[in-house]
Amino acid sequence: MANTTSASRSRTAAASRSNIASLERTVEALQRTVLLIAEANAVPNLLANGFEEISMKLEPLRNLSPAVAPMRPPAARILLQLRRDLDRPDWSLDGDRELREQLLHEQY
Amino acid sequence: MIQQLVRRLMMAPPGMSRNDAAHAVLTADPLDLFLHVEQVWSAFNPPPGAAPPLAAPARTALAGGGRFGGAGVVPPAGARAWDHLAYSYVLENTRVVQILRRVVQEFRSGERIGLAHVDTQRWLDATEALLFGSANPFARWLSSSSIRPDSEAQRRNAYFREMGVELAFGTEDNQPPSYVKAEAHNGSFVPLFEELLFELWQAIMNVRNLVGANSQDNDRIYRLAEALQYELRARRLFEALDREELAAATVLGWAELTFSYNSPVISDTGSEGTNEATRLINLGSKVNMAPHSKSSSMFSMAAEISLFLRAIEAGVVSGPEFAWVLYLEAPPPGAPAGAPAPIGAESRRVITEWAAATGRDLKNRAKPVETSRRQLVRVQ
Repeated sequence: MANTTSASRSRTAAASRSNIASLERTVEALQRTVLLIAEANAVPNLLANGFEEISMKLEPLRNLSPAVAPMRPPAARILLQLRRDLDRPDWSLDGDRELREQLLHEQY
Repeated sequence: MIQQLVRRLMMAPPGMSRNDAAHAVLTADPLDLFLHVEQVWSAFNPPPGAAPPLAAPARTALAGGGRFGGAGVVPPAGARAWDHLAYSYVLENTRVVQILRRVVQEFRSGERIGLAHVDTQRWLDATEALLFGSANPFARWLSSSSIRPDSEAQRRNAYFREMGVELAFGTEDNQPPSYVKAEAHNGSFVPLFEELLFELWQAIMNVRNLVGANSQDNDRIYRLAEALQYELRARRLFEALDREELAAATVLGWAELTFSYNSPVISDTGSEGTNEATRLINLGSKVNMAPHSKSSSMFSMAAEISLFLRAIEAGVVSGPEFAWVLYLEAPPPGAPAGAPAPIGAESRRVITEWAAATGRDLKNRAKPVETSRRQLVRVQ
């Protein structure tokens, strides 16, 4: 009798583990499906709600900033002169001869 | 001064590539460089009645015979074609001059750090003359008399007088520096400067803020800029400190150009790198002297802090309605054609790098404004 009960318990535990694993797989599959649906419908959802239209209407606001007084001509001349006086070469790597040589070297 | 010379060589007919122009300067005869410094000073052309007087005819004629005396290479009349003293200060804080001193010593006394090719030998001649006072006919630019024997001490004195600041290191052997600390100096420069940078950051954050809570304060920016202008100009009355500024800009401009690309001395010592700070670290390791750990920030803001403070000193912001010049990056809509670009990009660079170099948070107040006090401070 005792042996029968023990075997029965063992079968029940194995079935539970199997059920839990099956449930986990189902939940994972559902999660993947939900993500796929959300991604697939993200753009249509936005379009359906008129987001594009609203965005286009708001676009000009990007360049909106508080009005400021223009520089006075003498101050503008001084600033131009300062920029001219202190003009210097650009030593960042853009367009640098060494960078071009390096890229050529890497290419071959 | 040196970087501007490279730029003029690139622009003047027939034109040169950037690296060729830099190479021409770094391998030039030191006398040609001194003659050009003389021409830069003469072009500045102080207003009538201001001291010092214009260069004498003989000096002017001599200067015109230099390699860099051609049309388009000499700055136009009235140009102050050299960087602000703050440029020299931030660059000198990297310890670049002391490292170069050791490099010259090593090359002049042996072959431990490498063999100097011809180009590097020319660079050594000019470095020894420009930075360390070997004989030249225009000693006026260096503190080579018995009264001011040490050019580094002279620059320390100028930094202290103009900005109330000291270099982050002592002498080459890590002893306290010895120089004259003038009684008249701008001790409140740094607090004013950092407060202005804080306010400019608030303004930058709120440039496009039209509806939310806005901490931009144009009036305060104007007042801080004005206070800085008065303070900086107070040390410059009657052209005071201008010659020292030009001498410092020449020395540190030379050092900066040396590290701006893989120049002959960098190549000969195997100190190549991708930017100035890396090359300086590499060269410093050859001569057993580590540069400042924030050297990258120092190099990155040198040019910008120069223009920033020049604009402040020139009084470009003459009212709260013009405070935007310090924080916008492009001329506002409706600006006339040819209007100069405001210096917002430079301000932003200075805020970022000054905060990184000093470790101070310029974007938040260390202590909130006290609102519980309901009375003005009592008059003592």
